[in-house]
Amino acid sequence: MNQVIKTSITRRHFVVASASAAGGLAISVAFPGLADAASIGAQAWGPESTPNEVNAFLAIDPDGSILIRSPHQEMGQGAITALPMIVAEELECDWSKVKVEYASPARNLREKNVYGEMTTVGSRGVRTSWQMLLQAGASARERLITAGAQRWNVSPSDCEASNSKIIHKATGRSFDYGALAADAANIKLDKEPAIRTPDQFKLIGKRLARLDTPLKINGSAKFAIDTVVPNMVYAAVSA
Amino acid sequence: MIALTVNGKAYSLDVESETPLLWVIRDELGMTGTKFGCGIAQCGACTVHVDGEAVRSCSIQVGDVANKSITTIEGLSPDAKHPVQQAWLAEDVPQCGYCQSGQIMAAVAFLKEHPKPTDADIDANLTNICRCGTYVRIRSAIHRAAAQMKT
Repeated sequence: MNQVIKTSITRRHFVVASASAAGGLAISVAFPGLADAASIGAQAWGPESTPNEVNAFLAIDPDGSILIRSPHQEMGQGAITALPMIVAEELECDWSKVKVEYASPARNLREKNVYGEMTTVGSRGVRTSWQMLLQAGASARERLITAGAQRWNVSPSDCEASNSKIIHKATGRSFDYGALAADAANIKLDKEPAIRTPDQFKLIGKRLARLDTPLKINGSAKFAIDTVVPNMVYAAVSA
Repeated sequence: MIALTVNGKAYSLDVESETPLLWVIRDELGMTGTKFGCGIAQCGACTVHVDGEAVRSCSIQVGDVANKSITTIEGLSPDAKHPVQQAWLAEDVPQCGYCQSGQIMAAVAFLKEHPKPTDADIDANLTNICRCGTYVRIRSAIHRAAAQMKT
């Protein structure tokens, strides 16, 4: 099947995409032992913004699926797994509900570097972006907490986030992230939260299965040479 | 018209018989899992099976495999459950992934001939190139798959 890659910027880098026509979430489910894995969506990058965005880095659907955007490219170095993990570290989400895609360079230009420095070079992906990614996850988490607290009419400090739920500590009642995402998107925090320090990391440091491996063992990962666009022609250098 | 079976499905293709099998697979049939790496049968990224044997499809004319049965990476299993694919997953073999379809197809054919391979067997028989250098994990995955396929 041919995919139209909708982008105004030509990329020469490796493009990770699933050939799944069903929407791409199914790839990880087929593998025993990877039942708890996140997945890569049907196309390496989606529309520049989507409904259900909590911020530019993540969107949460009513069913609880979480889309996280990686600001750097996967080339076999693990970026498309590691960078979303950093967001998920602060977000306190169910990793098996996570789907990842690339952030949009066009959006980055339009929104004044909302994704920071997007080049993928020099082993600098994590080093460049880790604080920005922790902050994005933490901010989203705090807004989800605030959204839950508002529904219960309690203080955010009476609530906590865990595994894709906001929980009211005293009573144990909870909301799934999917139920709160729309409200969370509209919340402005008085103060952005501080990011975690390494001694507090729960997800970072765990060895998770890489999200691109399933696509690379069955021929479905798409590379630049596999790109097809409408009315495409081919050229070759003549000797 | 050239008759060909690919991954169990019969095709009748209007292609010139000198067309390399690789481009028939990729462009005519749209199966892009098989890759172009060098075009001179040196790298193995284009490896497919013809009647069960590993061949480098960049250097075979489609006319020469008329009426034969071709298997590509997409046809190895419907759900990546082939023991070699499972071993590749367990060992996290791929890095960039470009050579890996060819590596897997070569490994599958190799294991048919050498079900209990030694490292020397692997050295002598598997010549697919990997610029990322996943060779150590390829070796582990082959041993893992061989052990799995024995039982």
